[in-house]
Amino acid sequence: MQNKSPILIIISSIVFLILCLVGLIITILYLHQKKQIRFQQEIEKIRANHEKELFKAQLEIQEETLQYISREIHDNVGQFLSLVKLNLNTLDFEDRILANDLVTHSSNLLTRALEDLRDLSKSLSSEIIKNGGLQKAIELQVSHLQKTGKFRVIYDVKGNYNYLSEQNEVILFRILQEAINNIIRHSSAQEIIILLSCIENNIKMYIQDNGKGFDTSVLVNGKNHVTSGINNMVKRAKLINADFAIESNPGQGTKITVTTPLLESWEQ
Amino acid sequence: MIFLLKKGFFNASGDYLFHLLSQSFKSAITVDAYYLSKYFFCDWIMIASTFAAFVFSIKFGHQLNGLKLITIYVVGSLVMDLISIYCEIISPNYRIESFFMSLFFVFEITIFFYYISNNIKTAGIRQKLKIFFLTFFVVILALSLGHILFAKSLKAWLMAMQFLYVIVPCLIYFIELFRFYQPNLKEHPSFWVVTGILFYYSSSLPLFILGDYVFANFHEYLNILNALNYVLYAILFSLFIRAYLCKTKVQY
Repeated sequence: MQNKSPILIIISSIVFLILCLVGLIITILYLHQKKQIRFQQEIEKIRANHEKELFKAQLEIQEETLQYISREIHDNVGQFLSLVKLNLNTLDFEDRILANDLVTHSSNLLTRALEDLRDLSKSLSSEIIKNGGLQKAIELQVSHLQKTGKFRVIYDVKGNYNYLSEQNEVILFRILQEAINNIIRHSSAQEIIILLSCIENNIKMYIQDNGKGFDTSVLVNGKNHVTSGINNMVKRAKLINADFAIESNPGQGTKITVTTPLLESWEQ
Repeated sequence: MIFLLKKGFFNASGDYLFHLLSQSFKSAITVDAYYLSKYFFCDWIMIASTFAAFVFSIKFGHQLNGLKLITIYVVGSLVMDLISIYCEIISPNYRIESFFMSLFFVFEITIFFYYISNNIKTAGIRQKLKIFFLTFFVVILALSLGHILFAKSLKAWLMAMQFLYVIVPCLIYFIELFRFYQPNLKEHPSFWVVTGILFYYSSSLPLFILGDYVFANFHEYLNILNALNYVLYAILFSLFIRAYLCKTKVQY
């Protein structure tokens, strides 16, 4: 009995220790599992909110685009067609010279209307990105601007440009178009600088003008034609997880910087 | 010296090694059965589990980069076990055993501390722990000098060191476990290793504390305490084996 008691003590101690160890492991695993479930639920909630925000942004962008089309048609094409209708209504075949002038004038107006419609269609189409990529699209945009004769445009590409996904290129191009539209309409600028740089897995698009600039506090306070266009650009940047920054002061022009990570672009 | 000159160096070494092995063999076959079952065979269980951990580390260790430190520890333990067997059974020498045990203590704490701190995700805490560990060597040096010069008991110091340099990092690891997202915890080798280390040191601390009291009042039960210590080591190595069986390839 005396010989057996130390063995009994050892065996019971071992059993107790093993039970403690198993209890410890099960407790840690159970608590950890609960924590991970809560963590995953939080991630799902954040993901759902993010998707809701993205969807809302996409709807708003679509709405803005439709309004832009409506404005362009009303301001340009609509006006030309109204004038053509007026000319045709006042056509007097008795006075051949006047009639000739009116027909010629109407024909010119129709040509301009067709050109405007064609330009509108091209600006909305993403075919140019599909065929030539973002760089080509920017080059064409620059060439259009230079043809107007109103702007001196400087365009440069730094670094070894790697292609983003088509969707991201389209969105970046839309941001550029919006920025250029704002410059044409509101800035009274004479020089535009567009820089595309590809450094350390980031694509940075930089647009600067030497126009009249504006007070950036209106972006927070007001809703007007300035803020609407910039909000559009911000929403588009959010869609591709890009950083959007704007710097401007009255009389000192405006600088817009859009930075998108290359890795995220590929993953998308 | 004359022997060396007469026989030449290699011949002399070979002869000496043969003499050592034959003496060991003679001692081993004539060893008293008491020494074999002194700790109720729990020391042999520990040696068997150490050897099993060694085999698993050879087979699976190359797949898991982070367990290289544990492999080094297992090899060190195996060597220490062989030295203990030699010093206790074959050629009893308490001084040599004690010397190697002291070295092993430093080696063990260093490996465990370094392993646990490498598995802590927060860079700031990891850096601070590594700097804090430098104090370990200062304390060891001071204790060694104190023990040599003043013959003071080291027990309280050793207990404090085990707590500070092993148990506290283990607790930090577990706190972090609940802070960061880590799916499928059962397949993380570090979880099993740190659980084993925390379990061993938490369980052996009471044995350590009770050691002096038992030695003074219940001397016949001292072997039970030692046997339990060996069993705890065996459980530690079993958890190391579980760590080697994890499917996750990346450790950190």
